[in-house]
Parts: sequence; structure tokens; C-alpha cells
Amino acid sequence: MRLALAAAAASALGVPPALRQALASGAIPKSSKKVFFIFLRGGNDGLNTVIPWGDDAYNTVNRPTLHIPAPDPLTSLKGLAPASPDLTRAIDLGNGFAGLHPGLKEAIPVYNAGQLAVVHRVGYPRQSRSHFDSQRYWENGVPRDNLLGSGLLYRAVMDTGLAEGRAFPAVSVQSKNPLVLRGPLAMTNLSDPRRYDALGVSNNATDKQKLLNFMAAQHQIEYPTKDQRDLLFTTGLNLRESIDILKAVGVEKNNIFDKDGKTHLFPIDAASNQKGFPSGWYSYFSKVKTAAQILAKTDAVVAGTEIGGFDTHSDQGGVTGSHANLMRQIAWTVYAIREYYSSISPALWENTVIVTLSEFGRTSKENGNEGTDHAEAGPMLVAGGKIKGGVYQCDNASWKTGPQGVMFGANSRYLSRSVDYRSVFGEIVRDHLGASAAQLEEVIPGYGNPREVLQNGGTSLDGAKIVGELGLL
Amino acid sequence: MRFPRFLLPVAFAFGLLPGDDLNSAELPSAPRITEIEAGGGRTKVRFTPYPGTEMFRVLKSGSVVGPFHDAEGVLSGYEWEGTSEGGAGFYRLEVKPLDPKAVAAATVLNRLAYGPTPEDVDRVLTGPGAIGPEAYIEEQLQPEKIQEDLGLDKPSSDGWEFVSSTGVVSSSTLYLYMNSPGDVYIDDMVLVRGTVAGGGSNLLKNGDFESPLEGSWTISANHVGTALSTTEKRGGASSLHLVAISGGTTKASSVWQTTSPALANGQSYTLSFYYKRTPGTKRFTARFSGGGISVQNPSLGVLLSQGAASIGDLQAWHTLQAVRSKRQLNQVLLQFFDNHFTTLYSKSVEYLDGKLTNNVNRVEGTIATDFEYRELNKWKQVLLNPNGTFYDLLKISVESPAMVIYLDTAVSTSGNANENYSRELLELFTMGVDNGYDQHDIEEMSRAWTGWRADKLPVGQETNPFATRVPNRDLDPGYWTLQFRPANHDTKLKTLFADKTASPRFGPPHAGRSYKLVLPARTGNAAMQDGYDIIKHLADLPYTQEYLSVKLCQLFVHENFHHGVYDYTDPNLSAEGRLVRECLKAWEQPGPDGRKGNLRAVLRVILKSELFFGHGASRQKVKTPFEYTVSALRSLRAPLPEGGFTADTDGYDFQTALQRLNMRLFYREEPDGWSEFAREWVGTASLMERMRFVQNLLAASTSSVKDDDYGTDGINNTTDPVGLLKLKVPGPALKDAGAVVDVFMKYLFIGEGAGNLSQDRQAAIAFLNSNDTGISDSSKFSTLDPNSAVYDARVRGMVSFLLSLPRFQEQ
Repeated sequence: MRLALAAAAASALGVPPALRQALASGAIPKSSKKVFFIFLRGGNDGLNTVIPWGDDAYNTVNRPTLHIPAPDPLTSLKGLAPASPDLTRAIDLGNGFAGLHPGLKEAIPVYNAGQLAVVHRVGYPRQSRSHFDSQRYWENGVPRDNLLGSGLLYRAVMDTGLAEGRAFPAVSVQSKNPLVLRGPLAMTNLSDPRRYDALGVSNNATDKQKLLNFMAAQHQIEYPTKDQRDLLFTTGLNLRESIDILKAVGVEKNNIFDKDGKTHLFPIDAASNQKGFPSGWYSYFSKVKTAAQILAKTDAVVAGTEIGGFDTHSDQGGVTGSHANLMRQIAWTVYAIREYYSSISPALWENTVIVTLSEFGRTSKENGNEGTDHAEAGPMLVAGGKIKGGVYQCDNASWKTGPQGVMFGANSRYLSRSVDYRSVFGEIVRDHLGASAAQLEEVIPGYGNPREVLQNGGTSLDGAKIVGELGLL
Repeated sequence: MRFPRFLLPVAFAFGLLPGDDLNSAELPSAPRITEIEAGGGRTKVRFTPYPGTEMFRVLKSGSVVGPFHDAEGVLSGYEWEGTSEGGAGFYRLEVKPLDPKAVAAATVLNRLAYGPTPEDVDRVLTGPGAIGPEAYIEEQLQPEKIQEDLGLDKPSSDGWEFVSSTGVVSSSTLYLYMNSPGDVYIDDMVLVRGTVAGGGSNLLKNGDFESPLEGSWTISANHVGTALSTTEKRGGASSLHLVAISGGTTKASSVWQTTSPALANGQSYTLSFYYKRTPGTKRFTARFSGGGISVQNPSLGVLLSQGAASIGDLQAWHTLQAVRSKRQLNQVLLQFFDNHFTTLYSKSVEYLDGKLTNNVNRVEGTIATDFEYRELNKWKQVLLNPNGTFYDLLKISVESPAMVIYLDTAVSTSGNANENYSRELLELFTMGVDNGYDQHDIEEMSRAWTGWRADKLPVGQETNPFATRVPNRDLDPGYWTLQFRPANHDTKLKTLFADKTASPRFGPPHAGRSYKLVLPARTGNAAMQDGYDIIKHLADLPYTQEYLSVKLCQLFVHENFHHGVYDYTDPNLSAEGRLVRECLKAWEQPGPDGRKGNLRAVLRVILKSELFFGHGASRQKVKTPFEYTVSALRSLRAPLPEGGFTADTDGYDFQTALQRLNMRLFYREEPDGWSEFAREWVGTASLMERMRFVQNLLAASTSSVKDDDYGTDGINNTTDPVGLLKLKVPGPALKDAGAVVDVFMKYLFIGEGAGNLSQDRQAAIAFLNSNDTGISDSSKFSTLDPNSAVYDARVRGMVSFLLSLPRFQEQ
């Protein structure tokens, strides 16, 4: 077992010469599908992200300080959002029912291009309201399995053959490798590319390369079996390989501009902050930039990062405030990646899917501290050149309104679920990444199980009616 | 030619005869020969690794029944190569296992302690009269009997405090400075040759501060108010009033003096003086340029016990105790329980900020630090008490203002109860997630905690939670502590765990027992009893016993223990399940004072178990960042005869590294605490940060690397691996790369066995024998002068390499 793993590691992580050349010339590997993920940690308030203004239960009684007013009906355009919306109200999405939080305005061009899918009421059976458990299930892809230590996107690249021959199958740009990309073999993870190299010990660090090389060599020796050695050894090897690749990508540069040629798409310091965003956002955008560059310029299939601050138990804010600021960062991320990738080549954007995850939505009623508490279903944003954009599960037809409606449909407190997150990922893994049905079953165990009704919809294990796959691709 | 037909690979291991009661978790299967390759008169034999091997040996015979004799050849890693002389034959592999004491000592010193110091290895395992791992466990289980003075906890005397420090200096310039704006009085400063404070003539000019400062002490601009004081003096007519408008670190930001004549290199000197605090005294430093002698005062223990410390001081104190304490298990458990009952310093600050309007003195940070310190100090007393129980620890956490603030009890009121604390109390602090409670219990319980507050109570009312808060929190004297406000409490009856009985999987005595808890309708101060009834009830529930036992097993044994799954009545229960069952039994037994839940009883079960002592635990875990950084320093830390240590830190300079490694002490945001699991810590970014930390740690203070990247945040982490070598090997062996490497192999990698270390040993020797190109033998180690900078840098590099290896990540 151990030897087999070591061999697999060598093939997955060794960088073929051809790839080194491709990297040096900045070319994009052919026929490469990409997934960019953003985990919204803390539980995003879905009802203030995709606002069901058509439901009269979304009101100032239930949400005294958080309520976002409905859009002016006179500005409504069928199937589209207004290009310059009133930012004191929800941004109308043109279906007569749903609106975006005004903080999401930068995503309007993506929505209006039909490349942003807004999927509401997403969850899973017997929803946990614990951050830790629910994040675990979203990431390992199996609700209520606390022991499964490998991630859904890890399996999506490792169990489908996609990792074969790639130096960089999947990358996370955050201080810790997230469960969604964890598994028996190490994926690359980095926090700050400027710190992704040895220091050395001797004066002027003249022994830096020597230390790296000696370290790498010792990660290729045989060793007695211990619980964590495969992980430690493959991570060490992966580290050595990825240092050189990152240098070739040039992540230290920040020369990516919007169409005007002046506005930096990734505001990571005062000099690149033409948007005038708060400086506290630089660190997040720096991670987005690094992940986006790696995804664009290497053979990576998956890259992503996380953003915290969604656990808004108090002082959440409405049109402005802490949640609004998070919305602005998410919207600009989607916009910036689309612009960046489209500027490299239309094919790259067509080959990319951006997807957000968050462990749960928040209570339909505001709490006593001008915030919201842990709840159940919430929205996912899915964007990409080939994504069938639009509003899913937040419209007159599928949303039962009023005090007895879906806003209080789970335990009379929480937004009820009509979509399973696994159905969304199922489509991405199969229709975007190209997994076979059998591979998909490896990636999302139980996907084909008729009782789970993940494909065609029906009554789920806990009695909730879900719609199955949405046809996003 | 591969596998000639007439050659049968035969594997045989002696000394390892698995008994029937041992399962695979405890003993790995025997190694085997996987390949025999012969050709060109040479034969190669390859075999599988085996943990804890002192020596592998390949034997050969002409016949399958023997006799087998030593096959002459060379072993490298898990491959033997020798001549095929004598024709075809049969090969046999022998394993000389490592002394089981060494395997156990490795586990003990890496789990009950923050890794061994060289002294620990000698004392427990290798030195004359080594006490062995069992004796070490016994000793650590009774920490109150271990005497120690860390130089951190000195009680403040009235008025003047005496300080002395001995070391070898590399410069003749002494700096005095305040670490931040503030002032202090200093008097009778004496520097002498040798190790006895005041034992000789004073090498400082005007150290008694009886003459004008001009001509003896130079005052930098940031210490401009510094002058002689005649109102405060210890001896004579005056003292030095050291005043800073901003903190110092260097000559240009200190009050300094260069001795004349210059001090001698390589000689011990002792600096001693008295100081007296003022209300404006934070910390100050007296040190020689380049280190050697460096003292910071007031002692951290004094600052903390007086509630005058910053969070940086507490982080440093916590780190220094982990580095220095002889009560290592006590420190490990303190960290474990502080992490189990985690609270967030910055949330306390934010809360206090909302209650205080006078922000000038930034007292919020000091108060919030004191919350964390008080928790630690109280837990420590429980751990030092043979009667200490889990309930005792839980009660401290429940009453801590930091907890009341952290999980929003402080804003929870009748009719609008906040569920946050109730959820985490059940999920994370007692029963474990999905283990015997449901959402209804959370909601019911959340009503019971309404009215618990953290507020500033008047002097004399510190322990009376029913006291009215001071009217003006900014100006009125008082103490921030737990308060109960009946007006905010939900007085109605509450029923928890109605209709619930303990799961059959617990077996007797728990299975089937109802654990319903009714909290009657109560009003006024009496209603605070709700909370105490709850923790009394929760502390000894079988679910709590299970969850805590599982977490302790994960801490000490290995990761693969789980709550909520074991059926303790199952005759085929796994070894892990059986160990947890033993913990539950120990928990039920009355302790010395007759109470259930005795901590030492449960710990004893785990630390005496076969799982803990054998291969099941050995090196199966990965160190957390705190464990990794502290153990790296400790592994190189030996006392020098002339005073000081071969590795040291001021505690403060670990904090930037810990923050980069995602373990900023007292800043954990999520209530589940830092993880014990490798998968949470091992990633390319974190391994890189660990490598950078040890490289900075090993860099000499004269190396430009020392302040690359870490700035000045690493300069007070010092190591002298050559100094350690000089203590451990005789002079001539200093030029022998093998002998030098063996010193570090011995102290860094106990529990692996030389048989498994041969490749790392070879690599380390190759490192010593190459210059910065890394090309083997490009610069023979034996040609370097052990007193030269090149030699020093070579050894430092080699040690940083060893500390970066997977073997040092493991514990």
C-alpha cells in the first residue's frame, strides 16, 4: 500500500519537462477544465444575499435592521439586472421575485452575460447547524460523515485520472489546506507566495538551495509505516516541486488590469487599489489573485481560497455594514476572474467554473443583537463561460411565500432546502470536469443512490422535496 | 537477472513474537525480503522497513535449513549489497529491535513533554542510572512534588527587587532600556567577572548611580527624561530613574555604557542590580550587545499576577513555561484544557471596548489578558491537586468572564436567549457533537444561562456575583469578573434531556439510565443555581466521560479514537474502544477525596496502557505548531557550565512564528480549539513556514538571515549547536562528521533506531562534507576548524536540515 502510494505520488507530482517548458512560455495547457472555489466561512446569510423580495415574509417585522428594500418595479428588465441599480435596494434580477444584495453589484455584468447562476435553498439532509460539522460535510461531500478525511474536490481530481501527469492538480491559497482538497496525497497549499521559499541559515543565505535539495532528497527515501508519514513525505516532495513552478508563474507580479488598462483587477495594496476598497481587503484579494494566476498559468484543475467573517450573530448590517462588505468582495472576485481569464483567452473563461460554498444559511428572523443565527439552506453562486446563468429556486413558481412559506419551512425557523449541494457539484464534476458516472460515484459517494434523489429530484431522506440537478451546464 | 529460481527469499525476525492478545495497532507485521537481485558477481537484497529497529542484518546459508551466517556486505537503508561468492544461497533478514524502553521513552517525552531536552534523554533513557519512561510518567503525574523556580514567578518584594544574570558576553557595551514608554528606578548595578553576583570589583563605572550620569552613561533621545533620583534610592543618596518616551531595542535607543577596559571573550560575567517599579513600569531590559547576558524585568510572573500584563507578555510566559518547566505534563495539560475550553482574547477586548469609554490607557487589553491568565492559573491549581476533577476545570471555564463574553452569554437575556454557549458547552466542552442531546436541549439550556454577565464589581465584591456593578466603569476602582443579573434571567422551569436514557452501548452502570435534568422555576439570586446544576450534571455523564477520554487518548496515543461509536458491551471491541472503556471505569471510581472524575485516575489508565507504550502510539502523531517550535528549541537546550543555555528564547520571539503557523496563542477564533490531527496542520505552506522557523532559529546572531523575514522578531531566539557539541563529544571528535551527526541523531530522533536512521545519518554527514553547492565532499568537514565561522555555519545548517525532516514533525 505504502509503495503504491509513493509511486502514485511520483507520477502525480514529478514535473514533466514538457510542462516546465509550457510554464516558462506562459501557455495554457490544452483542453483544461478549471474549477475555482471560494468557501464563505461562518455561514452566509442567504436571505440577504439572494433576496426573495417577492415573499411578503421577507419584511421589517422579521428583519428589523437587516431588511433590504425591494427594487423599484419600474426599473425591472426581464431576465436582466439593471446596469446602474439603486444601491439602497435589492438589485432586481428580472424574474419578478428575486434580487441581489446591492453589495453584489459588480457581478451584474456576469449575470447579464448569462454566466452567473444564483442557486437558492441549497443544503443537505438532516442539516447540521454546527460550523465544524457542516463545513466538514460540504467539504468531504458526504453529509453526516464525520470521519471521512478526504475532500470532494480532492477526489474530483485524484479519482478521475485528471491528476495524471499534472504537477499541480489542485491548489489552495489560504493558510491551511482545506478539507475539500485533503486526501492521502498532499495537494499544494500556500498562503503568501513571497514566503514560499527556504530562508537558508548561513550569512546571506548562501546555503538556501542546498537546504532545499537535501530536504527534498530525504522525502524520497523509504521509511517504516507510521500513521502520518505518507502525508508528511508527499507534502514535503510536493513543496519542493511547487517552489520552482510558482517562480515560473510569476505570482509576485501584479500587472493584471481591467478593460480600461488602468484599474487593477486585484487590489492588493494602495498602488493597485483604483477601486478604493478598504485596505483590510488586500489580503483576501491577494489570495484570490495568487489562486487565479496559478489556475490560469499552470496545469492545475482546481484552485481556490476562503473568506471568513460570515458568522454574523451581531451587527450584521443591511445595505451597508459587515455583511455588505463581504458581498462586495465576493462580487468583485467573480467579476475580476472573468475579466482576467477572458483577457487571456475566451477559451480559458469557457473552461472555468467559479463556485461558492458556505456551511449553512442563517435564521430567517433577525435575532436580538441585530444579527442572525445558524440555520439551514442557503445560496450558492456558480459562474463560468459555459454556465447557464439565471435564478434557480428563488421565483414565484418554486417559492411558497408568506408566514407559512419556505422562509420558515424548516422547523418553522429556517429556510427550507430544495437543492442538495451535491447535485450542484455532481453537475460540475460530470459535465464540466468530464467524470464518468462510475467516477462520479467515487467523488460523491451515493450520488447514484435512488433514495438520495440527487439527480432527478424527489423526496429526500429527511422528507424534504428537492429538485435534483438544475441543468447548470 | 532477477529472482533466480533456486534462491528463496526468507524473512525472519527474532525478538518479536507477537502474542495472541496483541493486535496490528500495537505491533507492526514482521519485515520481509522483497527482492533478491544477483548479477556480475554481486547480490542485492532488498527488504521492507520495520519501525523501532536498532539494526538490520542479512544472513546467508547454502541450505534452507541453515546454518545461516553473517553475509558480508554493505547495508544502506533497506538494501544490502555483497558479493555472490560461494554461489547461490538462501538469505535471511534479522531485525535487532530497539529496546522497548527507547520506543516508550520517545512517546513519553514527546507527549507528556514538549519534546526532550538533551538532559531529558540522558536522564530518562541513555545516561548512567537512567530512570526509564515509567518513572518519568509517575513523576509527571505528581507535578506538585517537582520543585522548580523558572525565574518567572518571583513574588514582588516591597520596594526593591534584586536581579542577577550570568553569561558569556561577546561585547563590552551594556544597554538599559524600557521596552515601551514608561519608567523604572534602578540602583546598585554591579558587573563582575565570574558567576557570583557582586563577587568582585565592579567593572561598570557609576553603577551605584551616585555620580552625575555624564561621563559614564550615555542617554539616547528616546530616554531623554532619564536622570538621577534622590527621592528613590536603595543605597547611597540616589538611584537611576530610567524614563522612556518610546521603547528601545538598540544602542541608539537606550541608556548605555561601554566598559573600560573591554571584557574578555569566552569568560563568564555576572550582572546584578536592584529595581523598583512605578505605576508606569511595564518592562525594561538590561543586556549586552550581542546577547550573553540579557534580563527583562519585572519578571513576567509578577506582571501577570498583578494584572498588569499585555497579551504579548502572557504569550511569552506561556511559551517560556513550556520551554523551561520541569512539570512538562502539567504544561501539556494546561495547554490542552485551555484549548479545550478555548476563549478569544480579541473578543474580550472588543467587549470591554464597548463598555469603557476612556480609551487612553488601553486598559482593555490588560483586562482581557488578565481573564486568560486567571483561567490558566486556576486550572493549574486543579492540575497540581491530586483531587482535581474534570468538574473543577469545567467550573472555572463556566465562571470565566472570557467565556461569558466569548460565546455571547453576556448578551443573552430572558425571552431572547442566545444559543451559542449552550450549543458549544454540549458539542465541544462536555458531551461531544451529536452525543446524547438535541436542538431542544440546546434551546432549553440556553434559557438557563440568561443573566450571566461579565462586569466591573466594586472593591471587596470580587467574588460576589450578585453585587451591583460600579457606576463608572472607567474611573471607579473595581474588578472585572463574573456577575449574575436576576432581571435578565429566564425564571421559568426548564427540562433538559427529557425522556432520554443513556445509550445501551455504554453497558452497566450507565445504560438505560435516565439523565433528565429539571431546573425548577427560580427567581432572584437563587436562579443562578441553574448554571451550577447543569455543570454538575454534565460533568460526569457517560457521554462527557467518553468525549473527554477520547480527546485525551487522541492527545496521548494516536488520532484514531472516536466518540459516539464504540459499543462497550461488544466482546470484539477494538483496542481503542477498550482503552476508552477503561477510562470510563476510572472516571467512575472515587478519587482520594471520594469524588468521581479524578483527572489523574483517567490519565494513569491512558499512560499505563499497552497502546500508549507500544508501536501503536510511537511517532503516530504530528506536532502542532506550538509543540513543533518549542520542541525544536528544547532539543538543543542544554545548560552551559559558565551559565546560560545552548538554546534560549525570551518567549516573545516565538509569537510571530506561531502566528504564521496558524497558532496565535489566545487568538483561536473557532470554539473547537486547535486540532490534534495531522491533516489540520500538514500542508505545503505550513511545512515551509516550519522550515523557515528552524532556519531562523539556527541562524547565528551574526547571520543576515537572522533578521531577514522575521525582522527583529527572531533575534531573541538563540541557538548554539556547536556549544552543545562541545558539551557532548571530546575535542578530537569535533572534526569527525559521523561523531558530530550521532550527537544530534541521539537527541533528536529517539525511538526510531539506528537501523532506520542510516539514510538520514548519511545525508547529514554528506551535508557536513559539502560547501554551499551541496556537492558531496566539496569541502571536507574534517578540514574545518571547530572554532571557525564556517564550521559553525555548517553545523547550524545541518541541524536545521534535521529539524525540517518528517521525523522531527512527528511525535
